[in-house]
Amino acid sequence: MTKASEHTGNQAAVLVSGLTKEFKLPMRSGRFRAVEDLSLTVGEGEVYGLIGPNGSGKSTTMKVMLGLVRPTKGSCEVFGMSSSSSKSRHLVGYLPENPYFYKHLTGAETLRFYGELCGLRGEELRMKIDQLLAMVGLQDAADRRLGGYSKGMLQRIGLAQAVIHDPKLVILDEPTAGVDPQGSRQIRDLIMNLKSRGITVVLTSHLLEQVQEVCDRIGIISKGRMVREGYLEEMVAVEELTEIVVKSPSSQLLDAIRELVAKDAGSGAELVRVGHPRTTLERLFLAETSDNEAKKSGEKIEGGVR
Amino acid sequence: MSAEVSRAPLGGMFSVRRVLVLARHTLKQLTRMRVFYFLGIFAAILIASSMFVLRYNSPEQELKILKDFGLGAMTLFVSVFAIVATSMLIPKDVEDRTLYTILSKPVLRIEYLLGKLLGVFMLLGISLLVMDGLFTSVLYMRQSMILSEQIEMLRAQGLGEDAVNALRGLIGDAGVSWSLQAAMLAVFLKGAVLAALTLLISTFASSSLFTIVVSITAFFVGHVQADARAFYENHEIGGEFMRYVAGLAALISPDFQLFNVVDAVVAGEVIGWGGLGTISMIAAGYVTVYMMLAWYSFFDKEL
Repeated sequence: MTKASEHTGNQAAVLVSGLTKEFKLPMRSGRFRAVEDLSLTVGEGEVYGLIGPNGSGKSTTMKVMLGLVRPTKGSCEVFGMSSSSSKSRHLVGYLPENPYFYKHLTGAETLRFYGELCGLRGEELRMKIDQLLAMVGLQDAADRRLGGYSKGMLQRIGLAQAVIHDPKLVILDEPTAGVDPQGSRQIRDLIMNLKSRGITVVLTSHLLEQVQEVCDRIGIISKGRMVREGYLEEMVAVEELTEIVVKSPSSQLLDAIRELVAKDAGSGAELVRVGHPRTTLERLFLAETSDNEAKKSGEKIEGGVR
Repeated sequence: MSAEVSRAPLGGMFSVRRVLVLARHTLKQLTRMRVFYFLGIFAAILIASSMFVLRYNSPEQELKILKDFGLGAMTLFVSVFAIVATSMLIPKDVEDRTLYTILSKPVLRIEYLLGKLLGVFMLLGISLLVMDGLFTSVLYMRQSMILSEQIEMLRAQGLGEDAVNALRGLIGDAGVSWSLQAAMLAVFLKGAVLAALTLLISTFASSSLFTIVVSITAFFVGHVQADARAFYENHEIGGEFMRYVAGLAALISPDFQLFNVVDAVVAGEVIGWGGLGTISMIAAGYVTVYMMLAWYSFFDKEL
């Protein structure tokens, strides 16, 4: 059993072993190595974040998972099937980075097209389209052509097409790139929705705060190599510090806490900081720019502590 | 979302249904890009030429020139549609990354190619049907007008029914005939071969512009390659080298002269089923070979 599946107890959704991918350089004799001896495992039901700088090999790795490019060396399996087999694609949904889709199609027509490609039809497909449009909040824009969609709407319709055939694995390449904070929040909520339904998600993003919010495990990739991989909580936790958050403490209570810590100084305990936790700029933005109802909800979030 | 949805059967089996879905979509894509607006230009040219340009010729010559002009214009429009519409399909899908979303679904690459080509065939067929209807109507109206004018003239000159019947036969041969529809089929087949060749080029071309330039070159080479080959084989000019060049041109470009039945139809010849069957088989052969090469080129293409 692989490391990831040891924790989840399920089979691996994605198993990449010793993947190396080289591309021929046009008009030159040399080759460019985009990915080198990369191995990773994504357990079923996990949200896995693949992060790294531009050109580090993230998108190439994803394309190998989708069978769009073939490995030069190594292998990639999706639910036990070779990713180059079209069988595996019945189980996989994909949203590419900055997709344009067909501008001449409406939102509903776009979903119909991709649904038909996956073998859906008739009343079943019609219901599925309605469900997905509702899920991504685009019912009102169903009959508008994609040429008139905003970036956030395009990403949401893209996410809907990625899951139209009920895949077990969804691969998202920079799903929030270029999207405003509200749109970005909606997409994150949709990812959490997929996770709650047991769908495995593999995503890349340069917005690390968002990755931190949604991912169970991450892999950091640099110059085509996996440099660090593991559970997010384990990787970002500062083991020697403990955070206690108290709502509306009196000054006496704070003094008492300070005294308690001072008494235990012999064991190495030290009070590092006392102050008000801060909300994020993004949450502040969302609270200030949302409508009244959403604003109330945003204020609730703002009041919380991350 | 929780409802179970039936899927196409698992497996990498070829699916005609997916090809048809892609073909319908390609037709919709091209239609919404307003390519049919070109048909308005065709209609305007055709009507203008029938009304003004051709009035100075003899009656049967006038109809022959109108037929020659109409079929020539249709060949040109279908060829332009075939090259321009086909050349942008794959490069645009790659550029917009829509190709990724299609091929990440359980779609075989050969299904994608066939769907695109079939969509272009549908576009060519519909365009040709519209142009055919328009052209046949204009030709029939002109034929009727000329006939009634000429009959009136003959009767004014005191000539009898024999002369009128001879005139009817002469103008009938030069006007609307079933061979005209055979010529339409030949134009369609030529367009289909050109579209398949363009699709093949676009599988390895780096841009739509490159595809268009190479396809237009192949179109012109295809019209002269048979004559050039025969010339260099029968004469000593250029020696072995020119014979090889002519042979190479025959390999890389289809012989479009094989589909040229327009001259025969304009001359009033009857095109038989045998001739139509032969050019249909030749066209099917070209399309099959080009699609196999396109598949070979596209099968392992890094996207």
